[in-house]
Amino acid sequence: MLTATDLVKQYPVRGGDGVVHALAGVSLTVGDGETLGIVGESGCGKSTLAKLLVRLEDPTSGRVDLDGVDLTELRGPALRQQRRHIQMLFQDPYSSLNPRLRVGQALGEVLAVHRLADGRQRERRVGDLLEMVGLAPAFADRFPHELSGGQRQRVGIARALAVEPKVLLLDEPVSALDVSVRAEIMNLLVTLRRELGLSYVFISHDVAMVRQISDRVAVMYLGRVVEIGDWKSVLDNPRHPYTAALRAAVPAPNPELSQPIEATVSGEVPNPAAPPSGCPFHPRCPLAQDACRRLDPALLPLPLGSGHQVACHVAAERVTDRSGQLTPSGS
Amino acid sequence: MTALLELADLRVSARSGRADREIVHGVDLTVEAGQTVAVVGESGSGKSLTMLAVMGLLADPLHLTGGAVRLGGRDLTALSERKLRAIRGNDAAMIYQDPMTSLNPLMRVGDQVIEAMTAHGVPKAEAGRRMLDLLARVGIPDPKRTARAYPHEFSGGMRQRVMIACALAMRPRLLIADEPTTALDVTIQQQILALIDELRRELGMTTIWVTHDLGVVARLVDRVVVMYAGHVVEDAPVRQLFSAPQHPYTKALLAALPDPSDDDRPPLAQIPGRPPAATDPVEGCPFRPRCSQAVDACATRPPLQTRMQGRAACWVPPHEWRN
Ligand SMILES: Nc1ncnc2c1ncn2[C@@H]1O[C@H](COP(=O)(O)OP(=O)(O)OP(=O)(O)O)[C@@H](O)[C@H]1O
Ligand SMILES: Nc1ncnc2c1ncn2[C@@H]1O[C@H](COP(=O)(O)OP(=O)(O)O)[C@@H](O)[C@H]1O
Ligand code: SF4
Ligand code: SF4
Ligand SMILES: [Mg+2]
Ligand SMILES: [Mg+2]
Repeated sequence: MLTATDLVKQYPVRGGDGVVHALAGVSLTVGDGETLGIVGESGCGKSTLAKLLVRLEDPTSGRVDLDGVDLTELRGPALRQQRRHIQMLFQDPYSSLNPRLRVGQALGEVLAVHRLADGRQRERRVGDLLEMVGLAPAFADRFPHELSGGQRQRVGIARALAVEPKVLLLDEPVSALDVSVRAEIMNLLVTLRRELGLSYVFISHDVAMVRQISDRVAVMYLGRVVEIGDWKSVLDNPRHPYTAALRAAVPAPNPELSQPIEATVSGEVPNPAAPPSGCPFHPRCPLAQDACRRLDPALLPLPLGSGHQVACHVAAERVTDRSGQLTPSGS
Repeated sequence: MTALLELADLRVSARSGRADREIVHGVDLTVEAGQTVAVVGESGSGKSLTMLAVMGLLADPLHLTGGAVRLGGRDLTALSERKLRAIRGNDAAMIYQDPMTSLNPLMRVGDQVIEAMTAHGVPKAEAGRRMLDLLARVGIPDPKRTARAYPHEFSGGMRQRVMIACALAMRPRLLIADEPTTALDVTIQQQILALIDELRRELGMTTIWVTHDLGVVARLVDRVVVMYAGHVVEDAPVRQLFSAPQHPYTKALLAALPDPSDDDRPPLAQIPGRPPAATDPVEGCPFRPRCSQAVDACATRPPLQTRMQGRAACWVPPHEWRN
């Protein structure tokens, strides 16, 4: 099980003082074999969260545990050993594949670095990995530029799987792909999850894709989780006004619903270097009340249970103060 | 109704060395005045090149190798660059996916909107007044102040609004929007779609939406043109296209979209094989290598022929399709 506890990440503002609050206290868990979908708009902190989870970067505060081991404390070989268990797949596998290495060499290199197989065995393992992601053995001889976008993404997946991870972090894995290719990769991810018992953190701005693959869904806004729960209750019965707006903004591929397209929320995402007071969504929220401008709502279970949590005074039917809760001595 | 835009056997090629590789293989398309049409297809299918050809904006190594572009009956392919420039922005305007490609990074945004008008002979003072109205109309807050900002000081959504202001400044008759929201966040996408749609109604503009996303256009357009590998393969009224696709590729594309109301979340339908490069030489039907309906006849290229209320380029009609 992967657990993040109160992760905070701040970056210094470029060429000025002050900080960007990329993550403002995120806690979540991903169970074995579970897929957690993370959805949110650009800049809300999705990639930052992913980078902290794989420890490509250190959090400002907070911790990440994998099966009870605190990753944030590990250094050197111990860290390398644990890191193997969490692999990351990026949106554009092109940028993460070495253009001078053939596919087979690239996969072989990963196996060599982690001392997972050598000689004949390595060759066979490369063939197995390619087969796992639906590529013919002949692809081992190709260079990245000789692959289509979908094939590159398959190679990226094979490389991530080479070290037999428990968790795959998928940061916008299908966003750069065409509709027909996207379908292939989504189906492949679902099959691999079942066959290998993998856990996924599936990050996307595309609500339809998150709905297609997730067991649970977290909605992020301005560095926080504003709603989290079972996929169906979060996406089909959203309680946070932001989730509702995101959901309504997904164009239904149906011309019979021919009401004119209307914006579901006005305004733009605020600058994370200067977040609004109170609830970070209040400047755009159609339900905002007085308390929303002053008090930042805590992420709380909904009155009727079911593990669905929401950070909204109105949806939770009670006014809370997140900062007050987190630091009892504070406001 | 009268045709505002007619493309007849439009061909675009790219020079490579001494040879020419044809990329757009003879597009026939008529857009009536006042119509809203979507051009849909996967990346590389030739949507943008077709639209750049309409605007006379093909740049080396790309060039027109055949066919005609008639706007209001006038063949644009015969015009000099100077005459084209008078038409661009005035009669026909285009909005791109990435506003930075058409905004000048070194010029204040207000001045760019003004220039879009003075280039067509609007006196400077009048252009200045209209610029403030335009910026307000496209939803730029505090236009007096923001007009003095540079594009890099804006978010992607705000830049797109500025580009819309530039494109619509002369109230063109034809607007081409080439994936204008692909790079934007969902809630901002929706704001921009709604804005363009509103302005289209207000100005009575004929509009062509170029997109790879069928979901986006379902509620925006009257008609959909589907492109595959540099060919138009289907052209139909939007409802017919969704309810009774007449080309196997259209049907496959629709099936690959997830159904947002299906709780079982079945695997998405796949299209076997991979999208062709538009320059791959194909004999016969371009979709044949991936088509589940292919028959012997498909070794010959099917012409676009009338099917119900539209046209499709396929030898096998839907009632003969195997599942
Ligand atoms: N190295 C950095 N230095 C400064 N600020 C950063 C850095 N990395 C990220 N940020 C800022 O932190 C915030 C969150 O960024 P992040 O990349 O996590 O967003 P995201 O949700 O992945 O967005 P997208 O959908 O665009 O990928 C943004 O405001 C971003 O500009
Ligand atoms: N400047 C260029 N030189 C050579 N080939 C090009 C150029 N621009 C585009 N192409 C090719 O033309 C084809 C169609 O491109 P385009 O019209 O941009 O596709 P779409 O807009 O449908 O994604 C693609 O295969 C692309 O690689
Ligand atoms: S707390 Fe208030 S402003 Fe925030 S989402 Fe809920 S209603 Fe809207
Ligand atoms: S012409 Fe033949 S190959 Fe082409 S789409 Fe129709 S059935 Fe398929
Ligand atoms: Mg990101
Ligand atoms: Mg294009």
